[in-house]
Amino acid sequence: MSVEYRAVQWNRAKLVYDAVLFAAVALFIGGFTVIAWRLAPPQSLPGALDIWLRAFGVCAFLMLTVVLSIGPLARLNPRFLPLLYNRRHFGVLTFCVAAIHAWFLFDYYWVLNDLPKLAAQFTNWPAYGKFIGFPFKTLGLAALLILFLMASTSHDFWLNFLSPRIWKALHMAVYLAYGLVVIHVALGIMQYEPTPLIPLMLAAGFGTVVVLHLLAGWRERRIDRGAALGGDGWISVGPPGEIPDRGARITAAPGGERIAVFRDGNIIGALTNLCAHQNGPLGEGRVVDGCVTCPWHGFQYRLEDGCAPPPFTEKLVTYRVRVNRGVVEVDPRPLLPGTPAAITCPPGTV
Amino acid sequence: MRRAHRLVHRAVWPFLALAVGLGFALALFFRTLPPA
Repeated sequence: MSVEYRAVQWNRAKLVYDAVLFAAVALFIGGFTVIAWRLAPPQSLPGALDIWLRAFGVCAFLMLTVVLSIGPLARLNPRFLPLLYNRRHFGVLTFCVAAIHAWFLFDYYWVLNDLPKLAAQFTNWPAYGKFIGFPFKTLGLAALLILFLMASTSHDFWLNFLSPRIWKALHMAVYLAYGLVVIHVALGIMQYEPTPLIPLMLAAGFGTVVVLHLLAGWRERRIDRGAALGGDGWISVGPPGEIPDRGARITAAPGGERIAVFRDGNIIGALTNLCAHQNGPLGEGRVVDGCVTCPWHGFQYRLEDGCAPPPFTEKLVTYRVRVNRGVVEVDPRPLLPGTPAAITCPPGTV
Repeated sequence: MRRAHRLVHRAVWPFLALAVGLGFALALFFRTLPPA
């Protein structure tokens, strides 16, 4: 969190994250190039460019696979949350690697003095009616344009300008980009190279991402169905002692947004589960120094009223809570953002 | 994530798995590699 504008708020965690990321990309590109060079030494400059073209293409596919796996992995197991912290930089670097792949393609035809042939592949209109023989480079270009859109708006300026809801919706286009990339490779290099590694890479990568997303969605269905409402419309959360100290239990009314009911010692408070920054899952965070801390990027809110501590100005929706016959209950009708609603548990109930 | 966002996720991924999976399977089935 910051109250002053900085292009990137660097900290040690981000620097380490980026250093590991750059090292892994350099190692992969270097390793791929050395192995490919030794297996089939290129006889000309276009041959060398072809190796780099493939190295950056494979790297971009694998990076996109990892980027799309981080979200569901973090939802399935909090141990993966550190990967989510700086996922934006991962995404931007993925676009850069994909753009270099496209540049090497351009360079390849340039060196051969054959750029019209490259252009002709995009404008071969009859080929668009075929399946095998479809101009697969068009699919790659479409995916690259989507990744450019993602990378260029991967900043809190655009997040605030567009609002978290629209920004998130826009960034879901990356799923379409991934689908385009898979078909780009399947109709492209997979049709020319006999190696089984390409179909294996596509099946394993795409299969992993699909299974992780389906699994994460299936596991969360129960919460989204919503808890049964009591006679007066309140939801039973459970005895105070069953809410982890400085943690939360997440509940929801049928058809409603999730509510995170936190306990900090003998204080109970309920906030929306949506962080004001990027709609991160607040209920999976912890109470640190009396403030609910988002597990994604560390945004903080006071438990008693959902307000970010000064000088920050974010306010969250709060909910009324009560202890009824030893059971914490929450009223799913939201209060205005920043309304004090936390309570102190009666003695002997925690 | 908002509830609507999660619902879209749940609708998108089965559709994407089916469409892209089918495309990939067909591309593999009809693969005619050039002679070595």
